[in-house]
Amino acid sequence: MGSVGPGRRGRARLGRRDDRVAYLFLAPWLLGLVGITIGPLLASLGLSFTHYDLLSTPRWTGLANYHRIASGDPAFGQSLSVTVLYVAASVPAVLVISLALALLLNRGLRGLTLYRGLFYLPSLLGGSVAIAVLWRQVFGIDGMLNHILALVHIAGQSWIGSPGTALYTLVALNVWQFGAAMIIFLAGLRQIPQDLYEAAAVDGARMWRQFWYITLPMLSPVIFFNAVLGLIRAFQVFTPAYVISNGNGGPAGSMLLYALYLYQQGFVNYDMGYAAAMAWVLVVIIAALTGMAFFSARFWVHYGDTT
Amino acid sequence: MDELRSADARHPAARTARSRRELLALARNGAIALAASGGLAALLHEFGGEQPAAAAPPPGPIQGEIGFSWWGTGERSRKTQAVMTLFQQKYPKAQLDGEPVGDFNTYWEKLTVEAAARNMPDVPQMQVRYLTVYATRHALRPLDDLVQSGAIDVSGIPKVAVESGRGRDGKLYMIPTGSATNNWMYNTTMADKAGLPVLRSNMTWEQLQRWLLDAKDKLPSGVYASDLRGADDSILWAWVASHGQVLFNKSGKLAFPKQLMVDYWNWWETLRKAGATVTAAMMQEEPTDNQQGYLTLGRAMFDERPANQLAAIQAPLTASGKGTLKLATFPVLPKGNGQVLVNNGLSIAANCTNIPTAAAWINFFTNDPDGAKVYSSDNGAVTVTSLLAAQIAGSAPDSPVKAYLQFLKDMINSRPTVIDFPANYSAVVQALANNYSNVAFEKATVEASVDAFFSQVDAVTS
Amino acid sequence: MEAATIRTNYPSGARTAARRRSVVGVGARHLLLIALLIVTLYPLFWMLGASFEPSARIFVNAGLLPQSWTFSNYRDGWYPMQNLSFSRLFANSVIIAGLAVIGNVWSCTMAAYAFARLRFRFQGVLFAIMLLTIMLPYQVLIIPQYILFLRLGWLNTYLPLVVPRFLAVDAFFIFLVVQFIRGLPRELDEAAIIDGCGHVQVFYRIIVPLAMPAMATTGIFTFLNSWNDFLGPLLYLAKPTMYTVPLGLNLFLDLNETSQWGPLFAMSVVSLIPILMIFVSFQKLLTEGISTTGIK
Repeated sequence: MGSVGPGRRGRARLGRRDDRVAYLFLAPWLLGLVGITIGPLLASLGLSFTHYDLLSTPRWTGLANYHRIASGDPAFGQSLSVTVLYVAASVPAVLVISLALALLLNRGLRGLTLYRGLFYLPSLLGGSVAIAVLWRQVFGIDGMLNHILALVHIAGQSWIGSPGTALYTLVALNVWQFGAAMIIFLAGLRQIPQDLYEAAAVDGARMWRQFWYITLPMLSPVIFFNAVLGLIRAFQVFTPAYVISNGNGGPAGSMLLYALYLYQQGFVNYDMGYAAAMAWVLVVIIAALTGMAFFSARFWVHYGDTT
Repeated sequence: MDELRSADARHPAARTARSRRELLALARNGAIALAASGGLAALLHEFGGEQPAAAAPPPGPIQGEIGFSWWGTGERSRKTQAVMTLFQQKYPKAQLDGEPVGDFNTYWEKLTVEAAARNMPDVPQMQVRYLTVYATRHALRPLDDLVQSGAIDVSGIPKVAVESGRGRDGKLYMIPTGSATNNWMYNTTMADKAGLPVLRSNMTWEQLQRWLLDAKDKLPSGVYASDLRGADDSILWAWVASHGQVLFNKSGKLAFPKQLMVDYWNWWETLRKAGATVTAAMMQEEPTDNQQGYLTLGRAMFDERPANQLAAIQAPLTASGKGTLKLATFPVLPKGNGQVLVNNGLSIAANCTNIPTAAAWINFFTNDPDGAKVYSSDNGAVTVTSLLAAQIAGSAPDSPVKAYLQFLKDMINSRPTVIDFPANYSAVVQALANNYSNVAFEKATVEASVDAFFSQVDAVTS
Repeated sequence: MEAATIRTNYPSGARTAARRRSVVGVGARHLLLIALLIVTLYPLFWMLGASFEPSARIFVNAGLLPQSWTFSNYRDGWYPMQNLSFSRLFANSVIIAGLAVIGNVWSCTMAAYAFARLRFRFQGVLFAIMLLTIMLPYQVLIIPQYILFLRLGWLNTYLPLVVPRFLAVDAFFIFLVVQFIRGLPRELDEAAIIDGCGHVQVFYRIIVPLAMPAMATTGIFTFLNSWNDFLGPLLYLAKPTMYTVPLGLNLFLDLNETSQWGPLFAMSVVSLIPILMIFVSFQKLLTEGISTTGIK
């Protein structure tokens, strides 16, 4: 272990501020923030106070867009409630399934790499148009699900085309692509020291107790990450809703997710000012929920760096 | 996040030092914010453009690079590239940089972003539905001077087609290169087998409805008489035009009575509730491309489809042996002609700097006989009358291509309706789909949906 | 040592019983996984089958297996346009994605170390800003970003697709690595610091090796995101010879008219192969986590 440090400047001090070193490490991100991210970010905020039809100069309209959101644009309310339903249904489902599969594929079996890769395959397709075709092959009126139901004499229907079920085909799509969250859990599981488990086994702890008292707490930072990012991503989901509903937001607006409505306002209605206002309202909503998540983290997330 | 905050906050000396530092930080942040807002104002000014000064027609040399963009898949790209090669053989000093984008919707997304930054390709492929929004926002260059000077020759194109390329201000913004139309397409094999009378172009909407209701009982189970197209804009055009009304007024707002639209949607609802059309759920999940529609798969006998896609829609039917398709015009009634002329064409971007070459390319694409032969009306029937006649003569008899070209030729000669599309027309299509969806799924009454449609459209178009 | 003690405590009969139980357990696990795989991968099987069927028949045939086998989709699909081969598209995508991985892993890990282990002014504010950049929907950023890159003169180059990765613009990964680093005990850092190490040394010698799973994850996801990125290349690339794989696939599509579904599915299948290869090779890094406390 390097006993001769690189001199006083390079030596770290415990518990004191390390501004210079920190900003050295942050330099690329800060440069990217100022050079690439901040400009468009602030521009979108500015656009939310204008009427901007994409092809002319933006015209200042003050709070008009926000007023329209607040005073009851019915489609806005619908898109928000559809999205909340989508988030509430898909985020927990993805968390549970990806954690379960990660545990199954962590160790103690032959061909784990192959299994992991195969379960990850659906995520690799991303949001391509091929997804819409594939999903119709499963959930459409002539799809696989209806064929299976027919075998047990249950009448099928168009799951994608019916207002009551369309959104849940999107939830199923999100769950189908659990591979990414599973990979993250696998990485997290790898970081748990094995001798904790061995010590517990000596003490006579069985699988469930090991899971509850070792795995979950040690994994909690990663669970937190997957939960928060899953939440943020679910609120922003766009491409699946767009391709599966043919861009129109689904049967009677049941697949009109927030980002899809935002896209329609911006690029179809040429009202980018309103779309920008919607975007920033979403930021506030997500930030509030994320803040609550961080607050709750105190009670259940166990970090290795706090004692 | 408390863990991340500094631990020395509790020390009193540190607190005064901290408050001084924080004041400094506040000042610094304020300065940054001020600069940012100034920069923001400058950035906002980057968006959009003013009207470019009118330039005199340059009789310059045909050389240098120009960019050219189009939509369409492999076959169309191949033909386009062949025409580009011919052009570059004729004008060796000029260079065409092709920028293909496959999907139609993706093409317009990209072009819109480029237009917002005034960085469009020099010669973008254009269509009447989108022409107004680009023209009225000064993203395109007027072409009248080039036509006057002869740099672009439109003498061979029927006047009605050329007029469709004019913007709201009367100036010409698009040279039409391909004519298309929407019309009925139906499976004659199924219709004959069901013993239905032949479809005539002067049938009224009531007669057509009765024809479909009649078909419903005579077709085999699992086959629907018609697809459900209450959300289809082209059929709405036909309805309004054949009732003698105009769709949009000069300000881009809807110009026909609401009752007409109520009648239109009730026409569809009667068919849907009787089971003559596919169900609402089937309508929702139907893919938009040619190979997956219900007509192509033999699930529906009757549908609305653009004439130039006859061959493409016929292919899977031939492969499955489920019938032959025939074209039929929308109702052409004494009050008005339901057939609407829709043109694709080429324009010149306002930010183009190489006008002579751009004009030469448009002229070549439109008029050159060899080029037209190679392109063979891939994106709409070729607009120059003599070239169209040559292609009809040269097509294989009884081929779908010949049928569709002949259909277009007849349609153009019969005084079709031309629509003055407003800016932001895509919003109309969206509003139509959303509101009819509510009707078809019985979430709202027809009257309420028509009201919603009118108010949504009038709020956006101009 | 303790493990050996446990083993010798078992009477021999129970040991074979335990081994038999574990074989059954392993078998059951395999069965369960295979069942789940079949359900999960059904859509992909369908796509694979469709890729061997002529385009005109794909949607006519209701079954999973092709009725008329053909390789023509793979042949025709290799050239979405004249003079543009998929080898070219693959090469382009690999270059961009490779650079993106290097840049992203490097810049995000560095930033994550600062947020997770160091204390500095404005830490809370900057962390909040970092999260904020993830929360804004990208649709409203498209046009401002395009104008920015236009003014920088970066259009028609790979710069807008690669340089932001070196500047940790995708804050998702900063947060990911932060969570991993925070899961590591601080005693390691403190021991090194007491020994006289600077923060940079702590970073390179302790944190980076231990955070390998997180960095490998970042690498895999960055490659995947870059490979599948459609909007960026669509807007910033004009020359077809510079196109990436998703743009090439889009050349088969025209959802308003006739798409070339056969070649599209065939090339989609082919384009999964490089990603799988990257995944398998990164797997090694993923599984080399610490299995001891590492205080040694």
